[in-house]
Amino acid sequence: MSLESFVTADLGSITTRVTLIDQVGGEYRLVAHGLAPTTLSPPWEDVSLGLLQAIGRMETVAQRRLLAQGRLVTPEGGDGSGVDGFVATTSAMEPLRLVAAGMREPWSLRSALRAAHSTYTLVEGTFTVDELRLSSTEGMLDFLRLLREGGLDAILVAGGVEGGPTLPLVEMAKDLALLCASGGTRPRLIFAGNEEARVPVAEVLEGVVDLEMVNNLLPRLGEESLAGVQELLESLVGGKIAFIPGIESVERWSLAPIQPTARALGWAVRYLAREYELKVLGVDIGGGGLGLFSAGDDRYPCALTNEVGLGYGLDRLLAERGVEQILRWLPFDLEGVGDQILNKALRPGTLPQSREDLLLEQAVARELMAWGLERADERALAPVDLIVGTGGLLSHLPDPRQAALILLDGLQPRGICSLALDEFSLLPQLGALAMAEPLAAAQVLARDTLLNLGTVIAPLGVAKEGEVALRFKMVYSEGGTIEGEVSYGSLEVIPLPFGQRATLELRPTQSFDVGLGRKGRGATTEVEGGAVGVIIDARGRPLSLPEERAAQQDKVQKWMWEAGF
Amino acid sequence: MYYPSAFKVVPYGRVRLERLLPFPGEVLVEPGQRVEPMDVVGRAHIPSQIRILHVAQRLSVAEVALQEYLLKGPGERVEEGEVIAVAGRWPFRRLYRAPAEGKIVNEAQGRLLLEVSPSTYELRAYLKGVVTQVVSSRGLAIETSGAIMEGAWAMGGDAFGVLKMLGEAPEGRLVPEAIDMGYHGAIVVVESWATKEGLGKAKEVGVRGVILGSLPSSLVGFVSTLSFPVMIMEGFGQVPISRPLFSLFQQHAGREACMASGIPYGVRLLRPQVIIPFLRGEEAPRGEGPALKEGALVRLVREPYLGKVGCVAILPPQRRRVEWGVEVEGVEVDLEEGERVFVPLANLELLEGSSLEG
Repeated sequence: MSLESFVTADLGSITTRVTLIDQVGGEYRLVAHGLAPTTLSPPWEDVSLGLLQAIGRMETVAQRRLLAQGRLVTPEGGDGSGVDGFVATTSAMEPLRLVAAGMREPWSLRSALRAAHSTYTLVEGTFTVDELRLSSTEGMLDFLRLLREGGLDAILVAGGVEGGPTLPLVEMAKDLALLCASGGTRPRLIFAGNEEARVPVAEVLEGVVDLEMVNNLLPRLGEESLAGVQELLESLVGGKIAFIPGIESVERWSLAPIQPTARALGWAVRYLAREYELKVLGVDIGGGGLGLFSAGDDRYPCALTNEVGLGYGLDRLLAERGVEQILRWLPFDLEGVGDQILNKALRPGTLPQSREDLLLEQAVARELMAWGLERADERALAPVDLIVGTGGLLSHLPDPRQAALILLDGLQPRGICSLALDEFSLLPQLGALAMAEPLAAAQVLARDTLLNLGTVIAPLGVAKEGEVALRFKMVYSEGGTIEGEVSYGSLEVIPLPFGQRATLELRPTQSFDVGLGRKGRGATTEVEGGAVGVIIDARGRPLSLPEERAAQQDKVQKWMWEAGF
Repeated sequence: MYYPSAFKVVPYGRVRLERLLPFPGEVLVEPGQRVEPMDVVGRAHIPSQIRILHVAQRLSVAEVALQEYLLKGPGERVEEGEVIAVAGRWPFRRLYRAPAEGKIVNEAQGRLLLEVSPSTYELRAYLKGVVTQVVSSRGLAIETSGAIMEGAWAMGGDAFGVLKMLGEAPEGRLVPEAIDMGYHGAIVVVESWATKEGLGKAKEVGVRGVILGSLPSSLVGFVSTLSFPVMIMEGFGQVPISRPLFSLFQQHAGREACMASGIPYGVRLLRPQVIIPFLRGEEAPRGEGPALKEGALVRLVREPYLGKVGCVAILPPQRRRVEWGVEVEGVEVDLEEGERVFVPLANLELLEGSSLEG
């Protein structure tokens, strides 16, 4: 029997979002959505309460009875009440607490961290073989404390290319065996190093740890193989979902196991890349963390941080970047910026009440994205065809042009790409729905999920401020032409409403490349209308802001005006 | 029903305090046992660092045979430079000396694990009550009756002492001239915020803890160097403690209290608490949880109204547009100052514990 209607949900650490999907004219469509605070913290400590509240709000919007006696009505009744199925994702679980250990050189630990950051982990410490041997870091005491408390979910050991020496790995295993045997607990140890070392390492660690062997993270220099570790870590994260307070009743309703949000969002981004043959970068700016997801070529698939989001962990962002780095994105002076940012960290669910407060939150988001990209991978800066923004901040904006400028400033794409917004933070929910009813997920993703913001052209090159970087001519399919030039250091938004198409001719000057690999080379491309239009971003890469505060403010204000708000 | 953030203020009821060892150790009490605030209820030996000693390798002996060469083994204390293993015969004896003073805790794989200079940490109860739960080697929970107030943020661990309101102070701030030796050993309640110099003077005076309305965020680093806990009730900035809370503190001035800094617990928010134990007949029955309704007492938790308290006047059925252009769900609140303001639901906390009459 085919399932015709669904409620999908994403239980975030701060907000719970729900969506009603039903067949309309023979196709699955988004009918309504709702949200409510996640009821994870005291005094509630039961996430099903927030979920019911969000569904209750959606009932009102959709004018359809979905709840009865404190639970979701399934299957759909003849009177149109209820739905046939329910699926959910969540990021409200505790993250995996990991310690990573690697060889002397930095590559193995770097790969281990990249694998760890592909899902919800908290890396409590990292050690090289030398640091363990010489007991030379203060973190070792914390390591022993975690072992004794039983608070560690896994130790991830990486190192050694295939065919390389095995002795250093065995020696490291002996050090770890001594530490683990002194901890009084039996931790899980994931060995993802040189496969030839598996047998001697297993002999050393037998009886002391629960050992799991996975593919070498770095079989050859320059060749990463993260999938094995990522898969294992994801399954461990999946196990953490069962400990979310109140999740049992949500699980009972669900057609499929509740997915970690990042996994489902990663699926949605990969689906977009595969279906439309695009290189896609997804960015999720959530209150509990930042996620970067890419698909479409040989890219890092996913980088998450649970340590810093647009709420929890902002104290760390503030400490690492400093107030000045955040202030530089504001077109005005603001007193007490540090206080306001830390207050947001204390109460991540709160909303700005003034324009100044809103722009401060956006400034923090820009800096958060820049920080995330630096930590992720240099490959994240490679050109993409489509950037998709999702998460709480982006879905609460009064003007899509603000979303476009936040994504441009934070990610600084190069060449030509499209910008889209997941207005209702639906992508992860569709990733979960795909496990139960792929057709429904594909149809809603194609029709109702993404708001096309427009096309960005970001020429690469350097000139004097005010010198012409690019000339353009846009011929609208419905008639009419706009011609103009864009000077270096500025933004130009060319209107192109939804549903309209145009032919855009670009003629960069000799110092600029529009993504074709050669300066001065012109291009003609077909563009589609969107909420913002066509954006020519001739501000250069990386973006540079003046040192002096007043000049900084002038420039940021100029960019906002040029973007149209 | 709407499930808003709730801020726990219980003027009188059952209170529970969790006491945790900073490093796994030994819990010295049993469930059901009565404890006094200064009773030692747990003990842990916390090393200053740990060292892996590669003894077998250094002595060139087989790892499996190391025990034959050890003069000191697990459980034994060693002095810096003390010989702990010997191999070979005279005159070719090879010695292994302890690199630091400490305690050997384990031997395996030809190695020894040395805990360097362990110091003994004693966990005190900080609350007069009954032990209701013991988690082996980690900590315990104590329950009693009294008042409980949640704070917004704290740093510096837990404290126990007599609550003392800061007396004459300009605009209720903790400045050096406002505090003297009369506050030695007390938990000082400051109506507004503190200066760096004021906190420095509190340290000199020897206070056990400081409770503030707020704290400028620029002082967080300084607070981390203090030897006593600092708790803020409202948020960062320069905001006074909201009136109902301040009244409650005033009411209990002179009583013993416990400051618990809370435990960072992953994605869930466990807020710091002030617990004031006392006995007063019947406890107020606990309801099903706070509900947002007209007349409910709420605290506003975001600028520009941070720290203000008021009563819910109207629950508008429709969303409203806020200054920056987005429609949000919210309520109209009558502030104590007499003004009526619209506040997004996300920006208020119910004062849990319906009556604040004390």
